[in-house]
This record gives sequence, structure tokens and C-alpha cells, in this order.
Amino acid sequence: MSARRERLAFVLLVLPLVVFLLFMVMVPFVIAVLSSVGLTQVAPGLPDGFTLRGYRDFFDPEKPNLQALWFTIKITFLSTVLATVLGYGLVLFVKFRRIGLGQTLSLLVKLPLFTPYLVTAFMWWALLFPRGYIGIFVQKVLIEYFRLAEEAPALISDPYGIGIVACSVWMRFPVVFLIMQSLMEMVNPSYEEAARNLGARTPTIIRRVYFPLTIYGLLSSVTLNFLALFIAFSIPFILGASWPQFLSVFIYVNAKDKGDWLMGYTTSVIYIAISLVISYVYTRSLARRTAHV
Amino acid sequence: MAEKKGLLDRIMEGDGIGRRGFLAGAGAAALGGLSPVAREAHAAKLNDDLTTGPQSPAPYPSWFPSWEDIEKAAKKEGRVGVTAWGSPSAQTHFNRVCQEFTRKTGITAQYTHGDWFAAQQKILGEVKAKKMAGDIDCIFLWGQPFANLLEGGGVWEVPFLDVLPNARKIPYRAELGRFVHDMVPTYGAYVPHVNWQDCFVYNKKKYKRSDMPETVDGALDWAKKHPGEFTYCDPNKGGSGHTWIMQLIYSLTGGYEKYAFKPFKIEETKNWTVLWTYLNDLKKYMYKPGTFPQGNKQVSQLFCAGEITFTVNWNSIMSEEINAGACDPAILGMYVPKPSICSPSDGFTIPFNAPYKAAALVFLNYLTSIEVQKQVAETMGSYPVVTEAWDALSDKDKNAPYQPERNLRQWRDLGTIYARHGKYMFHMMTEWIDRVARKA
Repeated sequence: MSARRERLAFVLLVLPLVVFLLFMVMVPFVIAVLSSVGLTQVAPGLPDGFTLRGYRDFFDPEKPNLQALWFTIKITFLSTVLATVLGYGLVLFVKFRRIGLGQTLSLLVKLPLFTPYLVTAFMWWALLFPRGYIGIFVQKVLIEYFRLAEEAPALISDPYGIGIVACSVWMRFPVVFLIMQSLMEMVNPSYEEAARNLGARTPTIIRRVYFPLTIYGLLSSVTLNFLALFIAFSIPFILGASWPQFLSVFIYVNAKDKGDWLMGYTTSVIYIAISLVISYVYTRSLARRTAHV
Repeated sequence: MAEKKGLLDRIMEGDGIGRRGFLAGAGAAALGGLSPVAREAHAAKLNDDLTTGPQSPAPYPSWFPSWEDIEKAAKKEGRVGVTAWGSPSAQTHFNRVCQEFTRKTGITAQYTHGDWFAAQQKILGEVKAKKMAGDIDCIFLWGQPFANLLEGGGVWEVPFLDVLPNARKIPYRAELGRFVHDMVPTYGAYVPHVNWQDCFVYNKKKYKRSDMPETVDGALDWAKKHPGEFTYCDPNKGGSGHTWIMQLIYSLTGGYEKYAFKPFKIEETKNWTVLWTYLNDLKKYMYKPGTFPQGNKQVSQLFCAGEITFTVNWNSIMSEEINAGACDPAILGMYVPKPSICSPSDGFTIPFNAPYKAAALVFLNYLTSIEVQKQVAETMGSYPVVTEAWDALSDKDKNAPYQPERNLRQWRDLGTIYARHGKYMFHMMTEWIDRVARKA
């Protein structure tokens, strides 16, 4: 086959992918960017010409946008940390207790992965509602029995995002669990045996053997979870408060309720930009690691 | 009749019914093959100056085909696309109505239960794209999206309310949707269907009616005496919240007369500090201060679970709780405080590019029949827009605990019924987050 034919075959092979990426990813992104500076008329109420008003307003500390961004980052970070601790902790527990996960247990752990976000959000709403199981537990045990506070805190529609965090952690810990469990299985057991022969205890083995060998898997799951929760909509929409709002809900409110499409598009672009930066940093760190290995 | 038939014949030959420039050139868009005549609209632009601007409450338009001809054309079209939104009971109602309409007329009513925003955006997008054949024939709307569609050229601006025989029974009262909806003039291009009533809801096992506030702004004093027992829903997430606050605006900032049927003026909102102060004071005494239930349903669930004893909600939402067995009817007390709480009448319009307009007219006429209007009360727990339908209800439905006024005829004749001002309400909703929710 001539080089020209080979090149043609290659082009034909990748063409569907390029067309897909172009129309499904690039075009909407470009429209969002152009709309955020008033250069399209795809939605009613967008300005007639070029403007940076959306960006000026977004970064105006007097306006609520930065507060929404900060709340989103804070809640996402907290949820990611807790999901990671829970997922990783569970893997370590299973490993060191030598618990064989049967089909049922394995399915239970994976269940959140197969549950739609919206369904999960409503499920957690029912649990955290003052007359839900968790709501009753908090009231009866923590407040009335242990007297930890005078009044039970609001667990849903609350300004601290308690409901969002609880639901997000449940949704995302299986990702950490699955990634870390498979990585742990790949670690040569002779490392652990050697460490034990030298007198190391379990915490030391975790810290000095497993943790360094699985750190990049952990970083992957953290990044995956952070990005997934950062852009989540259903959970904060159902469980969130009137204020502060998650950025995704904030876009919805701006566009749908207020008809402020300029702010909706501006916030979307900033949202995408932040996600891209996080992905880029993660990819770069992985690439550097690969180069070192 | 002969003259009307002649007109219809002419229409069928190629003249027709036209509104606005784009419709005049729409060919077969209006009434299927019955379109369009180059007549100018009575309401070619949105006019919210209702008291001094020219109004034309027209009788059956002489230039319009006769009702018999419309029915024939509808049979010929054979189908109608209906889009609505709402709670599960609303979905049940519209599904049932569409099925019965299909069975009775042989015209297939295809029902889509969606969200008003998506439907509105779709039609506005089609206006922009000059798409003259859409797929929605009847769309259920509240005030703001109706205003958006009207202003955006998405409404078939024909006074079809004057055409529907059954619609003559809709009360001739400004607040009940015949002329305006949320104070947006409808020019007859809107058919009210359901009259929601926002009410004060209280636990009557715990409190007597005389313990509850008499006036709409009495909630603050009551909440101060009973901290943690009152709440209202986020006005951006549920209509019961923003409808009550709209009534508070009337009560606290200058009276109904200041706003009713007048154009929106931002200067009129300058004294709203009294409203924000009221709501921020109230916030301190509410259930779990700083939190607002995210919707009508959440409010009713808190009430039924005994978490709160006093709130604001729709009769329809409370009826869902009662009918689902989620709320003890013995605790449910409902009333309309003085001077009132607005009772909007949501309804249907026909998009400019509806492909089956004749069938849409016949469907809307069916929706306004006594039979369907009775179902509004029976299935959705709301008031029918046709008062006669209320008379035909069983005593059980009339005396249901979620109905605050049981003599609807008297209430509609003599009661204080207020309408919401869509634009002021929308302004309040956008301000509320900054002025109330964000305040520490």
C-alpha cells in the first residue's frame, strides 16, 4: 500500500472521531464562549455586540457570583476528600481484614455507580428530611440523647451544604474503592511480607508500601471525583439551599428564572475553564510521572 | 351562517386568518388548510396600559369561520399536540383529559408532560428560525412565559377565547384570566383552565382558627409568638412563596391600586425596603432559620410531618397530600386571609405555528366544558375557571378540607380576589436572593 493510500486510510479512520469532536464538543464550546462576550444571538436577551460585561459582573466582589464559585469549590473539595477517605479506608479494611467480597457485597458497593444522580438526590432527601431515618437519628440520638446541640441542624436545603456533601460522598466513594482495590491487588504481596518480617506494623505498611505504590491511582480517583462533583447539577439542585448556590444551579437560575443568558454563558465558560485547568494539571502530573518511571 | 360559510369557503380557497406579518405569509399554517387573511391584529403589540389603552372585548369575530366549520376542519386535521407541566395530579388530569377527548371526538390528542421553560424556548426558537410548522398546538402557561411568548411573537394572536362556545362561561372578572393573566393582557389569545388558590395553611388540631393571623401580613407577629413553626417556600422554587410575597407587596408597599393593571415602573419599587425588612425579620423566627423549603411540595411535607404548624400553600398541593394519605385531614385548616392572597388562573394558548389549529380550538373548547372543569376540582384539587362546574361537584369535593372557600359563586361574585402582577413579581423573585436569602 502506498504512503498516500495509507494516509488516506488513516484520515478516513479518524474522520468520524474528528467530526464528532468538532460538532459535539467544539461547536457548543465556541458558541458558549462567543455568547459570553455578546457575539451570538442564540438566546433571547443577549447583548447586540461585543461586551465584557458578563466577566466584569462575574468577578465583581459585590455580586453573588464569586460566592457561588467559592461555595462550589469548597463543597466539592470536602465531598471529594470524604469520598476518598471512605473509599480508600474501605479498601484497606477489606485488604487487611482479608475479607472476600462476595457477589452481593460487591454489588452493594457498586450500587451508587448505577443509580442516577437525580434518584440518589431524592433518596437522600427522603433520608435527611426531619422525619427520614437520618433526620430522626440526628434528632433522637445526637440532640435528645447526647445533647450535642439545642436544635437539630437542617440537613437539607441548608446553607452549609450538609445534604449535598452526604449525597455526593455516597455517590462517589465507589469510584475510589474500585480503582484502589484493583491497584492494591496489583501490588506484589512479597513487599508486605518483607515489611512484616522486618517488624513493620500495618499503619507503617500502609504508609511506606501501599500508599507510595498507589498514589497515582489515588490522584486519578480524586481528580475524577472532583470533576464529576464540580459539575454536578441534580444533587445541589434537590438538596441545596436558596443561598449559597452551586455554580451549576446558579447558571440555571440565571438563564431560566432571571432570563440573564449573558451571565449564564459567562458562568458556563468560567466553569469549563476551571475544569480544563484541573484536567490539564492532572494530565501533566501523570505525564511527568510516566517520564520518570 | 351562509355568509360565514362563504367566508370559510373563501378562506379554504386561499384567503385566511392572519396575525402579524409572518403569519400573513404563512400559507397553510393557520387552521390547517384554512389560512390566512391579511387582517391586522387588534393587539399588534404588547400593551400593559390596561385602564387607558384601547381594549376590544370582541364578540365572535365576524371574519372568523363559524364554530361548525371549525369542528369540521378539526375532524379533518384529526390530531392535536398538547404540552403542559405540573405536579403528578396535573399530569394525571391532562393525561385523562387527552384520552377522553380522543375517545369522544376521534381527534387524537397527543399529550406531552414537560416543563414550560423548554416548551417556551422551543417556540421562541421557531419564531427566530421562522419555522412555520411546529409541533405544539396547545401549550399550558403561567403569566411570565405567556408574556415572553406574546412579546416574542410566539402566540397565535387570534382572539380565540371569543370563539369557543364554552369559554363564555368563564367569569368576566379581570382577576380570573379572561382579560389578563398575571396582569399581562391576553387579547383573547389565552384560555384560562385552572384557578389555583394560595392559602394560609395551619394545623387545626394544635390551633384554633381564631389563633391564626387575620391578615396576610400577620404572619410575622404570629411567627414571633411561635418561633420555629412557620415557613414559606423559596419564591424561586415554588409559586406559593412568590404569590404570598406578591400579596405582601400589595399590603405593605402601597396597596393593590398602586400596581393593579398598571405598567411596571422600577420607581414604584423604591419603598420595598419595608418588604425586605419584614421578610428578614420573619426569617429569624422561621423553621430552621436560614433555610427555605425548595418547593411547594417540600412545604406540604414539612406540614404533614408536623414539623411546622403554619405555612402558605396551594389548595392543589394540599389536596395531593390528602389524597395520597400523606396528611391527616383532621389537622388541615386552610383559609384566605384578609384582604386576600392572589389566585392566578393558568391556562392555554396556541403557538403561532401550531399545525392543527382547528383541532386545538376544539380541544380548548372541551377543556372549558363543565365535564372537564369538574375534573379540575376532583383530580387537581383546584378551583375550576367555569363556576358552573363547581355547582356540579359532589358535596364531598366541595367540602374537602383543602378548599378554603366552599361557596365559589359567592366568593367569585363578592370575594376579594387579587391578581399577581407578573412583572413586579418577577422583579421581587430576582431581588429576593440578594435581599433575603443572602443576608446573614
